[in-house]
Amino acid sequence: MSSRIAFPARLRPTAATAPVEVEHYRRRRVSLVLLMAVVAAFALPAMATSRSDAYQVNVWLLYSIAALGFYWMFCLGGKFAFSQAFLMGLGGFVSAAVTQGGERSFLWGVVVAVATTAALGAALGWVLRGCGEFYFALGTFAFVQLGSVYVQNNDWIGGQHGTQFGLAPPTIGDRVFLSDQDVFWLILAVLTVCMVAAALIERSPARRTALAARTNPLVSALSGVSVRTTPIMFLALGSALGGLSGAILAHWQGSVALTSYGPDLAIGILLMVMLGGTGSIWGPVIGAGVYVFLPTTLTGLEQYSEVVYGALLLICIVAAPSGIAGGVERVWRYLSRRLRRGRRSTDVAG
Amino acid sequence: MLRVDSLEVHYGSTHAVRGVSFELAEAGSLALLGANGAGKSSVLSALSRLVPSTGQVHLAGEDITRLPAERVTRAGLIHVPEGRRVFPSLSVHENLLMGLIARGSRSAEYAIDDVYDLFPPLRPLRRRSGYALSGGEAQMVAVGRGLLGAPNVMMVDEPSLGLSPLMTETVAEALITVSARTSLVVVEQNLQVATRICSDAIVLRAGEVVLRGSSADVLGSEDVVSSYLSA
Amino acid sequence: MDKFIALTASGIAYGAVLTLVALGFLVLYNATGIVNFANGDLVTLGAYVGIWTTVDLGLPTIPSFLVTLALMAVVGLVLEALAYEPLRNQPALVAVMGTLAAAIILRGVIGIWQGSTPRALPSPVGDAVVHIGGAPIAGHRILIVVVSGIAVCLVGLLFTRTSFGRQLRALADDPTTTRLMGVRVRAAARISFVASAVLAGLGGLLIAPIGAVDLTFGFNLMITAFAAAILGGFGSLRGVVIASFVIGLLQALVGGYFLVGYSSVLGAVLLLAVLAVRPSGLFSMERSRL
Repeated sequence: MSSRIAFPARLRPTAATAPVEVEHYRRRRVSLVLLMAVVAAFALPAMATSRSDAYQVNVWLLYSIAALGFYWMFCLGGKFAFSQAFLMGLGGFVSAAVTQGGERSFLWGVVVAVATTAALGAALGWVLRGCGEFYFALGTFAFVQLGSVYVQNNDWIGGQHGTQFGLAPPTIGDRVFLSDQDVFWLILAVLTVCMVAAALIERSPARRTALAARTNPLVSALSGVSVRTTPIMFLALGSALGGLSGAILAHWQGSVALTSYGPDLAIGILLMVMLGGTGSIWGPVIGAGVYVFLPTTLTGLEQYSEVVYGALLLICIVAAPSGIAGGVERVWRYLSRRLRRGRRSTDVAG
Repeated sequence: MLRVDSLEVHYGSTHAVRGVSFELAEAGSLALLGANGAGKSSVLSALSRLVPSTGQVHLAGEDITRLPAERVTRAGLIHVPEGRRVFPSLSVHENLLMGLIARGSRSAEYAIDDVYDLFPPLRPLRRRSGYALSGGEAQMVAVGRGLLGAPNVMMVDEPSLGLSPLMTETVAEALITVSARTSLVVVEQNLQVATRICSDAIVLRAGEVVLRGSSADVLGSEDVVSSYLSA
Repeated sequence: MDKFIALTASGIAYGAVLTLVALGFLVLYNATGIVNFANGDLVTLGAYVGIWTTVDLGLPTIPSFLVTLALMAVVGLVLEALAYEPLRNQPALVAVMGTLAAAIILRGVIGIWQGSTPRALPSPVGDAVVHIGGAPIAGHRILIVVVSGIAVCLVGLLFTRTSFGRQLRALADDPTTTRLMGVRVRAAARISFVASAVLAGLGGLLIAPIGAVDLTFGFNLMITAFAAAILGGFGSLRGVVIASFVIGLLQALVGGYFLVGYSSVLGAVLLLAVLAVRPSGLFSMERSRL
């Protein structure tokens, strides 16, 4: 409470959502994404020797896509949306409904799923456009509750009691992605495209306007930034990634169940971004990795995984608000400064 | 009663208060004068520990420098903040009752009825909500609320701000009455009002004390006028 | 007609429990400026502790209620110390994420303790049935209304008649000035965490005998209680009570006659509708936005 020193005490700035990171190392982002994609393409299949490894790597990359979407909404758009997990599930359900009977292809399903979740994200953003940060979060809770009951009550989308079976495996043209190893290539390609888009957004004026709109809505509005549409845009984009990830996940698994996309995963996605770091596009990827691989490293503690996740989230918020990526970045900056200084001093000496 | 030694306040890179020291005797009264941004309010906020500061603050011989804000208040250094800050959803009477929290077991000059005697216009407004008060009424509530906390020293920030001349007069008269028994620190932009209430004054400019003396001295000094003008 | 009376009775009973849970939010929000997302899991915990004391330990009703509420008070204190105190100098949304983390931990702990099989809490009045206008009403619903009525009145008195209540309202108005009054902000936060945990626990104890208790039991109730708190303006006791009963009756009547299958989300629908039109809530006057 002692931080509420500034006198208009209840009027906290909306900047409060997540730490605003200073701009740095902007230029080489896209090449870094491509480099990492190549590294992943060689390293991950080599490292994932067992069946369960391959499965988990795929889950990791898919969660990364959804978490990247949450990063857009939360860290750039400044809106805490609880809806991402549900929209993942919905993406699966929509794609299942579209591709049912085998008339329309996997790609159709994914496109419709992405469009639907993007539209819902935008609609949610529009409905809650005037809300402060708490009410927005609560509004998204209500949306999830409403949507879940709708899916559960309607067979055409939710199947039997919120579960759809028998989805066709991902297929592009004549190429069918059947095994986990096959699907890996598809998911890696999709994630790479998303990360390139994210890197481009980081570099673009959109990020700047988003941060401006969040940190000082009044001044931003006066300087011509559309304070309301910017968050809606990020909500739509972010929700689209949720739908994309969920649709691929559903086709890969062949089924989708509403119960897998409940509050646990919603909070899990928040954990991924907080844990990975809210200041960089690599945060969601790193965080999703920790989220997926942590339970396997803590053998014997599986039944405590929820408690461990919760404790991690709490520790993260309290002790390491910039997450793992923030820490890595700090180390990187420190090293590069040392290197530069070292080089300069040798120049002088020479 | 109150001794302040080399008080410093920084807001980020802004150095708002630079080595302010002063001493206030029992039942003494001190006006803090200066232009906008001279650091007057920052001194008060630092003394009541709303903003972090360095330096020493002693109240009645006790070191209160490191206490949290609520403990400072409970020790009897009572801050009547700028803009009155009456609680809008509490009634006038409830607002006054909030003042009692700071009192603890200390003996007080003013009971709640004495406050109504000091500010008769408040009596009929007992049940009115804080948000429905005029500026003058709110200022009376704020001062009354401060008095109920049994202040050893009461610090009043800009009591005349936004008040009509008539209302300013009422509040000033009340503060003069109060100053007979209670030590006061008054931050004011209105030179006449401040020097009438307080026996001594210091003038701040850019966070530093540029002039100190009795109110009459300060009022007669040429420097005051210039320091007022050079914001 | 019978159906109407029965539905109305169940709506009123549900509204009464909603009031309790929503008041938990209100008390805590007033004192700390944050919304507690762990509240739903506190409701679940209250129900499970009630089952433990009544069914497993075999305590009689009143001691089991008292033990449950005492344990809930302790949980409230722990919650404050672990999830709020370390974050209280952080922006409000960060503190709110702390309560989300606490919610997962709480649910994880309940899951380990009680497993995921739904359990039932027998009503203290058993299967007693009261006939009102010829319609049979479960005695338990009457009990809910009576007990929550008493609790709400107590909270109301606490709010309006006590120094603590004044301090809470003052904190909601202006935390900084409240500190200048010498109010011990940490103590106020502790007390309100305790109060909201106890209210949530009581809500859990009361609503549990109406259905089965599982891990998501409180979460769904919490979202509806959010709706009630927001519709009620988050600041006004009266507003929250009215909004809770409106939602309770809406769910029972509209859900009972027309939108069968959607009754549990009518509160959410109403909430979204209100947020779209009046983003700061229905009854709120000059409060800043949440």
